[in-house]
Amino acid sequence: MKPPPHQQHQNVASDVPMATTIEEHTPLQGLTETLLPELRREVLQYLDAQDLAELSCVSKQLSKECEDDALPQYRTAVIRCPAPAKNNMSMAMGCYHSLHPLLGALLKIPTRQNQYASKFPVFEERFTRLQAQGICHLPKINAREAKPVANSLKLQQITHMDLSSDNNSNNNNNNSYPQVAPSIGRLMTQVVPNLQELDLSYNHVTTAVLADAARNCPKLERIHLQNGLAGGVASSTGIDWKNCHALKELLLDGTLLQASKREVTEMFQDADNVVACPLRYCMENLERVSLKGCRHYDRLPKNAVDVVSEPFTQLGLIKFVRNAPNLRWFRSDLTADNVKMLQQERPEVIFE
Amino acid sequence: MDVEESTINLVSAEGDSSPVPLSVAKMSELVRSMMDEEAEDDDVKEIPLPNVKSQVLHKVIEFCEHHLKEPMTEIEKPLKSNSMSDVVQKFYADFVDIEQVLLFELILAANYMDIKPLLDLTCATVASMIKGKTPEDIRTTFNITNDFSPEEEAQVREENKWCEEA
Repeated sequence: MKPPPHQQHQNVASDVPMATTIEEHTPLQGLTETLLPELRREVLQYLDAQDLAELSCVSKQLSKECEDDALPQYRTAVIRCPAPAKNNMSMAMGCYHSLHPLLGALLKIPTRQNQYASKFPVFEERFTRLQAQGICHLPKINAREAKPVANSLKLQQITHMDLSSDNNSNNNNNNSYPQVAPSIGRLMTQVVPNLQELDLSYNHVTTAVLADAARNCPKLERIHLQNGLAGGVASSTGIDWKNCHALKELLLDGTLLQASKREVTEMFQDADNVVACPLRYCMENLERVSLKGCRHYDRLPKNAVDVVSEPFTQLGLIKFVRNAPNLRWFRSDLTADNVKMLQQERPEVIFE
Repeated sequence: MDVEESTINLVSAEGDSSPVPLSVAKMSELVRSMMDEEAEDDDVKEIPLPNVKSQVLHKVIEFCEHHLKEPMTEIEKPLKSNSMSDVVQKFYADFVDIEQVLLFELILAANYMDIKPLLDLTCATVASMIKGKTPEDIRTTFNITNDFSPEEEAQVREENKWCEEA
């Protein structure tokens, strides 16, 4: 049999044309010299926008290739909030005399209203995500100081906001959760009116923060609060998100939600009360819910350390599945037998 | 008694011949199409692969043989981890734990021989070597020269990475 001419076999896996022959490449520059752009594109498809942003800064060639419209082109604007120095107690207490650091950072975001936009025209088009790293370190903000910024700064393009803490920060020995100051949470949700996804994971967030997010962001579809602590009043009933009319996804794995003794009885123990179930105030449009390792507590001890909590009961989880009318995907600690039973009642739901 | 599956010889760039079961060889769309073209020729016993070195061909065969026994999990895009052991089964993660030179040769071979799962695995592995790294780390990993002027670098950085300290 005659050897195949290379050219006749260019349409190989994923219609990628054949690359240079193996002997031709310089081994130590494999990424940019061995592979043809079509093969590099195969590689780039496995990267998320954040990694593509980093890769764009490596070389001109890679920068150009990362501009491919088939790749995710959104970028994340980052506000870093470092922990205050231990001896800077006035900062930690919120007793500062200059502009609050969060306001200073927010006011530098390029928008059509300030001088930074002309220098950075692609910002509004490209930066659709906002991340505030270490937001729990910020001191509370005075309402009077925050109001002008909250009223004037509207980051219309931001659809995703990540306010989660470092996931190692509450895996310490004292089981504490870093708390987001309510006034900070409020300000952050006030400046993103088109927010669709909010990640508050690994934080202690009060009912005020949760309710502010619901009120200020009417398009909110996805809330992630994993391995966190939701303080406030009856958060396990979902009342804080009652006004989130677009809410479709709620991921609460490993999170502690508050429930009074009466609510616990109604939701988790009383089989006759078929209506009272977890998240009943916000479940109308929920399609994807994860409650694996989710627990409820009655009272927060001082500083929210070592919270005494109980897991959601099987009855409570079953009642939720039966009551959530649009549920399509559910992850929880339901037993295999209970999943089997519910699959027969709700065949449209995928149980993980 | 099992009927022994017929084999075909894959011939590397160096001329080394590796006998492989037909089912293994046919994981390569290139081999499959060449066999189909020559279907009427009963003497089809060898497939020359002049672009694939012996060392690489052995790895390709090892992959295909295992893939028939344990198909590789589909790799999610984008990658959720920079560790391939979090992405695919142990065999496949170990399979690509190799020198960078060989990894790129495997990509070329997978592309040339048209073996999609192998191309997916090797390309994802290169992506995992990029994931979570800074531009400087990426340049070091792949020995890439920074050809931006300082001004260009500042601009491309700003267009891709806006960051402000509170």
